This record gives sequence, structure tokens and C-alpha cells, in this order.
Amino acid sequence: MFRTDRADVQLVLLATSRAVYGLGALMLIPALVGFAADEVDAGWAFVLGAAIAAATGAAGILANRTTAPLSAGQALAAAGLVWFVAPLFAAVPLVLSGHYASFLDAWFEATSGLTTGGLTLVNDLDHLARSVNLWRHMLLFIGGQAIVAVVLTTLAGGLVRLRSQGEVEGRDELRLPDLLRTARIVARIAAVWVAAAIGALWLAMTASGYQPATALRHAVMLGMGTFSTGGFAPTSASVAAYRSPAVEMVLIVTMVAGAVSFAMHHELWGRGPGELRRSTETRTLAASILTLLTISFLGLARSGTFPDVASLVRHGLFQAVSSHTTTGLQTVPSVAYVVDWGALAPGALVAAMAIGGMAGSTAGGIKGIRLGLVLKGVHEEIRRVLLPDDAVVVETYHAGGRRILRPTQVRDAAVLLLLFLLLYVGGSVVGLLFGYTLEQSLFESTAAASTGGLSLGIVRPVLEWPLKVVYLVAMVMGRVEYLAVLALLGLSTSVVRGRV
Amino acid sequence: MTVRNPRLRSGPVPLARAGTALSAAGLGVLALVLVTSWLRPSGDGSARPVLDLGDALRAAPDCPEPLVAEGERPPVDEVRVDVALVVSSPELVRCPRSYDGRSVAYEGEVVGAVLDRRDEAWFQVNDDPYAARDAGPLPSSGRFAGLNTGIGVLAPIEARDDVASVGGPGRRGAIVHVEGTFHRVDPRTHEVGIIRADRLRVVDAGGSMEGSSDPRLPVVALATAALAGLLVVLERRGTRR
Repeated sequence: MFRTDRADVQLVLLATSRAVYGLGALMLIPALVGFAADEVDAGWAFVLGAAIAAATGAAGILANRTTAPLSAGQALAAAGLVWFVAPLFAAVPLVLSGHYASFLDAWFEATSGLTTGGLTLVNDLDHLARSVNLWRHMLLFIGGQAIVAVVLTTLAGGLVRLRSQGEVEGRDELRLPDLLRTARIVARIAAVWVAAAIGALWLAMTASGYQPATALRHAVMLGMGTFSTGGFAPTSASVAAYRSPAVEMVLIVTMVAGAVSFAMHHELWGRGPGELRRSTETRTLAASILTLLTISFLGLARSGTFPDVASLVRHGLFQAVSSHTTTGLQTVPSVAYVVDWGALAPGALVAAMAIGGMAGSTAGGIKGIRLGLVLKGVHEEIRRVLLPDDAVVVETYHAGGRRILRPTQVRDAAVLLLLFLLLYVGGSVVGLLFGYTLEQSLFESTAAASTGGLSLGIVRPVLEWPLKVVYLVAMVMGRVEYLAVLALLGLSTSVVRGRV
Repeated sequence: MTVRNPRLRSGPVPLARAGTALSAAGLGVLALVLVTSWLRPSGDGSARPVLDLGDALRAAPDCPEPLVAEGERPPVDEVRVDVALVVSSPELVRCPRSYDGRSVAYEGEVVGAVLDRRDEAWFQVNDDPYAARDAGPLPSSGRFAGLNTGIGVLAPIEARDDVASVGGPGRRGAIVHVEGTFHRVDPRTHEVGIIRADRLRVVDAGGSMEGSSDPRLPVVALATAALAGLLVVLERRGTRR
């Protein structure tokens, strides 16, 4: 991969052009919604955005057309490029809506959507055109499903051959049918879950007092966004706008479903819950969420945030699940984390966002499998120290079967864990430079890099532009899990250095 | 023997060509920014929110004394006259314990939806600059003033009949004046940061937002679509071959 030649560049540009072309086609959906809802300017904005994306994509395909297959490394580099470039085109209808103060703000919003971050810079969301609001939530869905298909295909040899989550299969060639077949399976699973979420949300919202048509609009947006573990909400009050524990329960179930890997969904449908019980990753995440939930409840009880158990459990549980699944929906005002939640509960939320969900899901963060492998590695070392020198120490883990833990796996997981921690800390250092406190900077930086989406209120339209750029880059790096950005950097560096 | 795809280029990447391509891409992005800036609705980008919560995070909030200090019981024999304080939503969310249980007066635009609950109804009332009667929502005023800020209000069910317009896409909501009690956490509904209203009075009825369509947008969109259509046809022909 790092001995780049023109074929590498050609294939990366071809894959990127196809992605931009597809994005243009998808923009026609909100265009139709805009015209149907008498939002004429918004409709034309989407036509223009679709045309620019389709023209650019088509030109790129024409210039780089080949039937050669993508290698895993080229696919990774293309993924890195797509997640920086595609939001530029997705931003066109956003900036033309008049609700974003600059192109940078619209690019940030589009990036937040496609990375399923959920941090927002929109002005006056409550008066935003329906078609533009729909597009924001569509971006969550597009980005969420796309990254799953890319990760599963490049890192796991395709869903149909997936047996070990988190292992790099090291394939030399990536056949397009693998990507298409994986994408179809991912689409089928997503379609079922999103349809179920939309139905359940519509019922709950209608029961809460919404008009059926409005409830359907909100259910579609939230259904798409929540399963993609993205934190955009249709209104500024987020989930609190619905005043409904039933809506919150549906969202909790949908968030958890979104944070479960598609491989696990495939397994659950095909073989039942056995793998769910045995998997090292699900066990690690279950332990993590129970621990952090307990810490959060203790913190809230100690700070006297809620006067009774019912409200503590309702809001504490929702926020803990929202953060651990890296969704970012809220039932309380953002500022509450700073002024009314004490220190322990927000700290637990930060840790939850940092860890995130399962690999091969739409969730962000470090991922449960990496944490699990590192902890297993630590356990193995402790046993090695305590047992006699001639003892044979073998540590195993479960991922599609019982496997022996290799030192290289522990090393790879630890390296990525460290890189994520660097990203969280690096972003918070920049926040400190702009006068925010350590707690606030770390919270916001972790929310960006883990695509957690919860916010204390630092990310808002008048945020300093360098921080907007830092969080934008952090969202992309966190979304594509470093590897794609490193592959893209490797490609660029070797082009500049002219290696053969 | 491996047969290389005839359309696949080989050999090192010429640095000059890479530089030209990057420059072209940069110019393309610049053109995108300039075209969208030219076409977007004109607005006042310099307006700042009345109270920027993000700025406020840098400093510790200056909150008034709570009605009853934590851990204390209100004196039984003392007569307290609780005058309704005029408050804003940023003050309430930044200092919830200071205002918990206090009588407050609050004014803003009804947005979203009015939700019936037997003998009560939920209103989401925003008091951000977009609710101001002299300026109004962003699509009509063109003034950027940040995120929306507001408070949930639970009022007697009769109040819903007075609210004819709810703010949303293309609509200005009714401006209402609310008097009631602020609850950090409502003991009955468990909702966070809400006002239980004793009175809700409509100050401005609201209505449809007036807007004008930009004639340049469809022209540019159709012209670009024509170019895109041509390129798509060429691309499709190439695929079939």
C-alpha cells in the first residue's frame, strides 16, 4: 500500500467518485419532499446539491474507470477520503437553507451527520425546513450503514465469512461482490430495525399527543438516526420534546440495537442468542455499561440531582445508554451536566462515550472488543507473573468460536486504544487553549472523537473556528477508526515522496 | 501469469500531475464555497445570542440564593411572599437549584407541538432571539443568533385553545406569557427543568412566515442538472460498454 503507484490513486479516486455519485442520487429524496411540502427553495437547493455531486462523481468515474478490484488498503484509503470529501457535497443544501452561518458550519454539520456524531451547529432548528431536517437525519443513516459495510468488508473479509470480530483478515484483493453482498445484508438488517423503530416511535408519539402526520415525520427521522447511533434530533429540545417515557424506552432499545454489531445481528437471526452470551465483546460491554451505570447512579444520588428513584433511573439510564452507544440524544438540557449533575456522573458518561459500542456496528468509541482483548492481555500477564516460570499460560477469548489470544492481537488493540486516548486528550488540549475548563474540554473532545454526540454546549454556532476544524477532523478519525486516515496519509506521503 | 487490467494505470505518480490535480480540487472547493455563498439567503452573520451558553460555561454561573437551602426545611411560622421573578431559559437551566420551587414569569414562542395530558397540556416555549416579536424566526429575519433555547411548560388544558399557531417550518408560533412555578425536576411527571403554569396568556397570535423565493436558485440548479445529466449519460454508456 505504501509503495504507491498510479493504480492505487486511480482506484481510490474511483471509489470516492462512486460514493459522491451515490450521495448525489440520494439527495433527490429530500428534494422531492421539499417540493411536496411547498419548500420550493429547499427543493431547488437539493436539486443543485444533487447535480453538483452527480456531475463530480460521474466525471471522476469517467476519468478513473477500471474493472480492477480494490485491495483492502485501497478501500481503507478511499474510506478516509470519502469521509472528508462527501460532506463537502452534502453541505450544499445545508448552507443554502440559510440556517448555517458559514460553509464551514454546514461542512461540520454534514460531517457530523455522515460520521453519526450528532454535534450540531444549526441556527434556529425549530424553524428549519422539513426537507432539510430530513436530510440531516438521512446523513446519519447513510454514514452509519456505509461505515459498517466498509469496516466489515475491509477488516473482516465480508460479513458472510465473518467469524472473528476485530481480526484483520489480510486479504490481498477485495472483490466487489463481497462489498455488495455485505452491503445487502447490512441493508436488510437495518431496514428491519429501522422499520420496527419507526412503527414503535409513531405509536408512542401519537399516544403522547402528536398529530399522526407530525409523529410519522419525527418517527422516520429519529428511527433512521437512532439506529445509526447518531444524535441529531428533529427539535431543539431533543428527546425531552416528546415528554414520554414510552418514546424514551423505544429509543433505548433502538440505540442498543444500533450499537450491536451487524455480524451479531446476523448471528442472532441465523443461530439464536448463543453467540451473544459467549462473545468476549458483549461480555466486556455488558460489564462496562453496568459499572458505568452504577457509578452514574451513585453520582446522581450523591449530588442530589433527582429527588426520587423514578426520575433518577429514567434520566440516568437514558443518558448512560445514549453515551455508551455513542448516540448523543438527551432528555435533559446540555448545561445540566455541568451545573447540576456533579462530577461523578458526567465522568461516567465521558468514559462510556470513550469506550463506545461493538466493532462492526454504527457506534463509535474505542470498541468493546479492543477493551476486552487488552483486559485479557493484562489478565494473561498477571497469571504469567503469579504462576511458576515453567507454567504454560494460555489466554482465550470468544469471537465466533473459542480462540487463543495472540500477543499481536493484544498489541494491535492496545495501540488503537492508545491512539483513541491521544485523540480524546489532544482535542481537549485545544479546548483548554480557548479557555474552557478541563472537564468541559475533555467531555466535548471525547464526544467528537468517539462520535458520542452529547454536548455540554461548547459546540454551538459561535464556537471558535479552529475548534470547529479540530472537532471535524476528530469526528472523521474516530469514525473511520484511524486506519483509513492513516492509509490515506500513507498514500499521500508516498505520492509526494515519489516511491515506486 | 497475471494479466493486468488494460485500463489500470501503472508507474509512479508524477508529482507535477499530483500537484495540478490537488490545485484543481482546491479550486473546485473554493468555487463550491463561493457559489453557495452567492446563492444562500442573505442574513446578518454577526448577530450573537443574547446569552451565549458556551461563553457562559467559561465562568462559574452567578446564581441567586435558592428559595430553600439544601438540607433545610422552610420555617413553619414565617410568612413568605413569593413574587414571580421574570426569568429567561438560560438563567433557569444554568441555575436550576436557585429557581427550584420559585414563582416565575416567562415569555416566549410556542414551538413544536402542544401535547394534551387529560386536564393539562405541554408546551415547548422558546425565548431565544428568534422568538422576539421585532425580529422573529431565522428564515424571515435573516439574523443568526445561535441555537434555540427554551423551557417546557405544563399548563391547564384550557390554555391550548388560546394558542392558534405553533412555531415550526414556515410558521411563527404564538408568543405566550407564562406565570407559574419552576421545578428542577417535576415531582409528578419527572420531567427536568419545567414550569408548572398557573396562567398562560397569548401576547401575539403568530402565523405564517412570509418568504420570497430566490429566482437565481432554480436557474443555477437546472443548468447544473443539465451538465450532470450529460456526464451521467456518458458514464452510463461507458459502463454498458
